[in-house]
Amino acid sequence: MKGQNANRGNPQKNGHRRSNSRYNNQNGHLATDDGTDRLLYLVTKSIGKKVTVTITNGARYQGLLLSADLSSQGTSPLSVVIMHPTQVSKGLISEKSNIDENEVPEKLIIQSKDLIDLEVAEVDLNDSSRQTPQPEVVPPPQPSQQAQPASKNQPEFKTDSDISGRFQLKERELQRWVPEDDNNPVLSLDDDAFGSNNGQWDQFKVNEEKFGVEASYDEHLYTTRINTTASDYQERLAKAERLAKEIEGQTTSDRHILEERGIQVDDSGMDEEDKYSGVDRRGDELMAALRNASISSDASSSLRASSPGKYVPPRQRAAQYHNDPAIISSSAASKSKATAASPAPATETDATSSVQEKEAGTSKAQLAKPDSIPAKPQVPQHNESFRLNAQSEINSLREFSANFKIPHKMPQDLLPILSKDKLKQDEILKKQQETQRQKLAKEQAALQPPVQANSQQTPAQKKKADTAKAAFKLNPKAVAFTPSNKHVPLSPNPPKANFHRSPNNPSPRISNSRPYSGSGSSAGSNSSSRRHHQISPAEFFGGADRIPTKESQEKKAADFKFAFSLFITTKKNHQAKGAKTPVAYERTFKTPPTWDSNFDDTHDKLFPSVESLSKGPGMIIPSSQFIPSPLMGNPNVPAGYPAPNGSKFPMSPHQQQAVAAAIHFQQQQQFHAAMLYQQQFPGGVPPGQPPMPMYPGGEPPFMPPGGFMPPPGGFVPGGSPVNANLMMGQGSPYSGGNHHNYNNHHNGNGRRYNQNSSKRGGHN
Amino acid sequence: MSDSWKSQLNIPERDTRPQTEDVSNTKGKSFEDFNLKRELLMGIFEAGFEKPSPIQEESIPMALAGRDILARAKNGTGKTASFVIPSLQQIKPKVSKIQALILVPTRELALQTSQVVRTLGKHLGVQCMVTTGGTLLRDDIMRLNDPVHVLVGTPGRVLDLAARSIADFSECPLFVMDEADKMLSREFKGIIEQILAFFPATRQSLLFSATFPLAVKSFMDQHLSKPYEINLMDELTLRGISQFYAFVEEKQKLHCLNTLFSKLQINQSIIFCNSTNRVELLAKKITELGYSCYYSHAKMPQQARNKVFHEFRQGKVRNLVCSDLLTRGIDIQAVNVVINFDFPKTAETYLHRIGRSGRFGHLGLAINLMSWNDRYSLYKIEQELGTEIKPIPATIDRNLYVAENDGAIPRPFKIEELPKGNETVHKKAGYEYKGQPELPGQGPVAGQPPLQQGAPGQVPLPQGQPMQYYQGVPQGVPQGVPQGVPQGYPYQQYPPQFNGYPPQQFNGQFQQAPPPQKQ
Repeated sequence: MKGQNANRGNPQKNGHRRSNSRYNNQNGHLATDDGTDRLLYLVTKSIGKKVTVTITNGARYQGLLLSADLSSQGTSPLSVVIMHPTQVSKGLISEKSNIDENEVPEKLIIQSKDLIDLEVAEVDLNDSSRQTPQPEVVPPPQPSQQAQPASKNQPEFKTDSDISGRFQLKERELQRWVPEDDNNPVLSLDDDAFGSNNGQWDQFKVNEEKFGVEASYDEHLYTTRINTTASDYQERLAKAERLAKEIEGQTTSDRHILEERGIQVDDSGMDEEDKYSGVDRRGDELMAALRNASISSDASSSLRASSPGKYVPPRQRAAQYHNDPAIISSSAASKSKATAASPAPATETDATSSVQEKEAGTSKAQLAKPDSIPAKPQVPQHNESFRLNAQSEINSLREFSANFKIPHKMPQDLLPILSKDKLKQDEILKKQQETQRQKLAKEQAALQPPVQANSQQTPAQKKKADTAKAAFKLNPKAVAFTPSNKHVPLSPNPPKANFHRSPNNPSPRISNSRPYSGSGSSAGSNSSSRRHHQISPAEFFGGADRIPTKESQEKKAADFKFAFSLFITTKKNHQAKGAKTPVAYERTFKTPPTWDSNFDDTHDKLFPSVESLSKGPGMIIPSSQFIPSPLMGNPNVPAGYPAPNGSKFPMSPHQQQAVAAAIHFQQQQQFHAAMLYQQQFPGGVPPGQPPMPMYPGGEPPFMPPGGFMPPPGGFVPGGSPVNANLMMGQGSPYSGGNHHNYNNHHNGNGRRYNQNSSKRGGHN
Repeated sequence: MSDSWKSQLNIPERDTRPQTEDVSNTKGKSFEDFNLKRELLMGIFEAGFEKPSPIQEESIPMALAGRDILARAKNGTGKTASFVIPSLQQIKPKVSKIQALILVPTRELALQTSQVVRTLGKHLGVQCMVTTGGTLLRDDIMRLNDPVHVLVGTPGRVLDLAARSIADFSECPLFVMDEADKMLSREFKGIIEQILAFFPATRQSLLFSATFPLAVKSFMDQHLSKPYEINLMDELTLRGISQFYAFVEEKQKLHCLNTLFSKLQINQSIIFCNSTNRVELLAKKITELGYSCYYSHAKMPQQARNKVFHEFRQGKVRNLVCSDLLTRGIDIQAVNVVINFDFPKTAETYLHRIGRSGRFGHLGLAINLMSWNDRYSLYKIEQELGTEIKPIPATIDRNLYVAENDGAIPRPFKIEELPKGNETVHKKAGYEYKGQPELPGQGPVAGQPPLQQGAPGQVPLPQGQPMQYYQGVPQGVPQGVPQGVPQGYPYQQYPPQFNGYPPQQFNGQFQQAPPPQKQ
């Protein structure tokens, strides 16, 4: 090859070269000096390859490219030699040719003047796909750069490690630097660390004195000049001053914004590399962890309730049940009350107190009211606590069955079911009759609807309390199965079910507040069957005054006819108010867009309940709440700004879904981070913040985070298809090609995150 | 097209230092191929640009075609001009609106970028304003009362201005991010997205960086439309930079540094420390050793930071000790040695740090002082960058990092060349630009003092000054740093010349710098 000549090559037409090289596709720019280099490179790469040559008369030959001549002779400098040519197609113009049509020589020389097109079938341009056509031409100073990219044809934008590729470098012995002369006084940086280094060292002064360095800085070399000659200068100045004050007066949680506003930020733990140079890779892991955490908790909190077996944090069950985020808030808000009430002194004596006592003093009964029913054991949905509790649960069930007395006359048809053995049946009957007297006495009390009781105690409680008192002989051993071992410190006594405040009870199960929750699962159907026989109308309807009469029923029927009509009720209310304005009918519902959001997940998947976060656009997030956690990063929702999309949060949930599609993922995640954080630290609800709906302040101190914030790994197995799907659908910045990784890390990261944050919570 | 305007240009002395193929491996386009405005071309040539670098070749036509761009190219290969030139080309100076926003992560980089805009666009009548923290917000609000075409700033301040509609981006067609990987990291991303919300949906976005440690796909998908991806890197490290480590004990570091000072032929050096305390301490020590030295870190007042940055760029001090504040983007052509006094944590920091030397394909030296604790960081970074860092030899071939004719190293800008502020608007001083030039070569540059072509030492040094600056050194005379050491200082025992280290000695060990490519 006469490649050297190519450097001085004439501008030449290059349109006849075809290859898959990117540079050649833009062949307009090759008609320059430098294009010759490229041609040379391509030709070099093509040698030995199968080529198809078209010559001026239209004939095409195929063969191996043996050599090429790029030296400039005439207009087109490329002459080629091909080996073992075969004629692919004959010339269009039948003119006299040097070549015998039937007999082509072994080597065919095609001069540049005859060459029209040279087509290389499979040219391997190795590096040209990476856009460096000449990587081997100039050796780098370091001999170690033969790194190949891991995946050449990867269409995605490469990250640094994609480029550095598989370069393997082992740890090695480092070669110690040896000072050449030991005569020098030992210089050390921390010589005077405690001496003169108090920040008074003026670099400008010293450098000017010692080295004559003079400053010539003028900001107008860089930025525009303020027009001080304008007629309204003072006016403008005042306005600018005011605006600046306003802006600087805003609060934000974002460190960078604070820094730019000239506010000293506590950046302990962040050095300037983190701030100005490095890219935080932890984002990857952390976001994955957060994401997984959010998926597991969101999946349950979101109203979809995708998988029935999944653990649902107790606080979120009510919401799920009612399908209403407002309930989440309210149930959460009342929790503090529940906390106060739950350790109420309740002893077994209450439960076993005699009938006489109860008849004598209703006040006493109120005190003792529902305490006699053993708390239901934690339902074994929680994998970890399940195993621990299972055995004790079985044991206590056994004991319960031993002590249990059926509180009313045993229906005869039940006997054979309970026991086939005649002897045993008798025994059961006998046992039962022993308790009959007690029961009868109790019923007398129950059947007289006590007016005072109604005033102070809701009928439902009353009913349940009565049921309980009459029905059960308390099994003290039932304590053994506490809802979870974490809840053990509730009290040394049997945890008393307090139906009255069921949604707020720390016990997740009881909080379900099912109407029939009077009987524990352990009580079985026997006890519940009693109600059908023996409940008085007052009991049934929850009070004597509520027993339906004919009139009330008629009224109800009328209500049923009209009360659900939006128009009628609105009109009625309007008239009732006596307003003069025309009646305004509200829109009852709004429909979300029916198209799929194509890039991000909807709000409610990412957040447990953003809806209830009634954060206005001008809402200020007290920064200190979130900043100290490097894991959390900054919630980059600078709160002081009117959200560009208009206010996001006061919208209906449906609207939010639509908007969520438009909001960027990161924002959501940051936001979610904040939510999680607050969930973890209920004690630290910042002032000015509306009570956090999910886990507001006043969380019982003995509630471990795990009680309501399940470690994600426990409930969403890393590899579960649900999880994977969720993740894939979210278009996270990190999920592209990586999400397997996250699944793998899922357990560990999620849990570590929880631990870390709970630790931090302690500092709050 | 008549080329007569070219003869009027104030083209600075040619930088004849050899260049690596990091910048020379082009397709051979010229700036004139891009159909740029003549005034812009004039600015480009007067800035000393001769032909586009590979990244400029790739990105300028695409950017002019209106495409979104996500580009990566090595440090110091001309990324800034890659987005400044198309920005300036698309700006209509007669429209008094912000027509381009350039976001950068640090204030100094904002200054520098603004200065590039002003240098390249000086014949265009384009007003470029810097807005960063550390300055009076009031002043920036005042500045925005007057027409501003290009806004260069840091995200926090820009968001503050945009949120109050003080800076109006509603019709701003161009959104540019330099150091895009940093800008898309967690601390900035949320701000960036909020800023983007103030832009019209039809905006064009240009994203540039040398490093992308994390995938930015999600941002691309959401905020860029069909971005044209440019990846001009098949390796991460610059070819012109030789990297060495010196494995020392912590307490030996200063001693080692002093030895380096005495042995290396330093044009200008940047020394990186990991904490602000150490920055100050080391700077003080270096001045005590007899070398002029400034320091800069983020805890200093912005005025002092700007001053340090400016003076160092002007070549007034030889050494700069700094934190990672100045790791990214800072372009000082005269820096030929970077010393990592403390080893960085992340690979991209390392890469950007060493990229402060060897600008625009020139040669440079990166020396890492390593302590025992840093060794795993070293392995990790080597791994991530795919490069091996060698132990420092007893002597370092000066051909690896010293340019023979260092008089031609371009200064960032000629102070006397630049219009100061928009004084042309307010004071009618300096050159007057009236839209299109009446005659080629007449309008815009009239009134500009002619540049003293090739005059070295534009910044006059005080007489009797012991320190010598490269500008004043006759060509070809090796200039040892110890020459600047005051009389009587013990380190004068070092030979000021480097005769004892003939380059041939290392031919076997080190790759010679590639000869300048003749085109």
